[in-house]
Amino acid sequence: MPFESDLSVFYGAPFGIWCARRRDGEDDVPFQALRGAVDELALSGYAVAADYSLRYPTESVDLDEGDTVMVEIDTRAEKPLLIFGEVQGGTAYRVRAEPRRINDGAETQAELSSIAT
Amino acid sequence: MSQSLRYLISTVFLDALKTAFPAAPGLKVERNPPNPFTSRDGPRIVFLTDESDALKEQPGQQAVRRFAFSLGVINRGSNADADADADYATAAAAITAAFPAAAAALESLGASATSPRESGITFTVEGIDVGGALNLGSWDIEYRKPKPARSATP
Repeated sequence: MPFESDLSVFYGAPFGIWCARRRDGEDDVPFQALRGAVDELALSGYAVAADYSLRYPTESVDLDEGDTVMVEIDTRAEKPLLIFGEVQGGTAYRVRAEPRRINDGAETQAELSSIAT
Repeated sequence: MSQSLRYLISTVFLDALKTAFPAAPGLKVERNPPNPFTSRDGPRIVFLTDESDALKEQPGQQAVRRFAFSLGVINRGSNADADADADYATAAAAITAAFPAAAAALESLGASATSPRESGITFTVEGIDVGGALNLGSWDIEYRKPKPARSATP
C-alpha cells in the first residue's frame, strides 16, 4: 500500500485519538482523529474562546452539521468499547458547520462546539 | 482626587447594573474590561465601556458635552441568543431607570444632564463554547458642566 494512502500512519496511535459519531437510532461510529483547540478572539473581540476542531480521514466517517461527536472515548486494547451500539465515555461536542475536505480530499476537518451537560 | 462628571455618570450606571444583576455564580458585571472575556469569567457577562466624551457646544462658557458609552451583554450558554437578549433588556432598563440618580448626583455639583439615549444595538451570534451571543448597545448622554466661577474684577 502506498505510504500516502495509508492514513492510519498519521491518525493511529500515538497521534490520533478515538472519537465516535452519535446519531439517534443508529449505532455509534468510532473513528480516529487529530484534535485541535486554538484560542481565538470571538464576539467582536470581546471574548476569547477555544476553537475546537477534528481532522480525520474522509472515508472513516460521514459527519454532518449538527451531529454529536464523542471525543476521547474509552478504549480497551486500543479498540473502542461498544455496549449495545454505544461507545463508552468521552466528551460530547456538536459539529457546528458542514465539515470541509482538505488537501486532496482524503482528509476532512470539522469544527466543533461544546455541548452543555 | 475628584473624578470627572463622565466618571460619576458611569459609576451611577454601573451601580444600577450591579443592582439589576445581583451577584450570582457565572455572572460578571464590569466596567471598561481591560481584556477579552474568557470562559473563566463565566457564561453571563454585562459590561459598560466608556467610549468618548466630546464637547458639543459651549454657550456662555458653560460646556455641554456628549458622553458616549457602550452597554454589552455576553452569553455563552446553550440558549445564548435568547438569554443575551433578555439580559440586555434588563440592563438597558436599569440604565434608563438610573438616570434620576445620575441627574441628582450631577445637580449636587451644579451640573445637569439629559436622559441617556440608545442610538443602536449590534448583535453577534457565534458557535463558540456551548454557544455565544453578544448584544452591544451604543448609548450617549449629554451633560452640562457647572458654570465657571467668575473671576474677581479688579
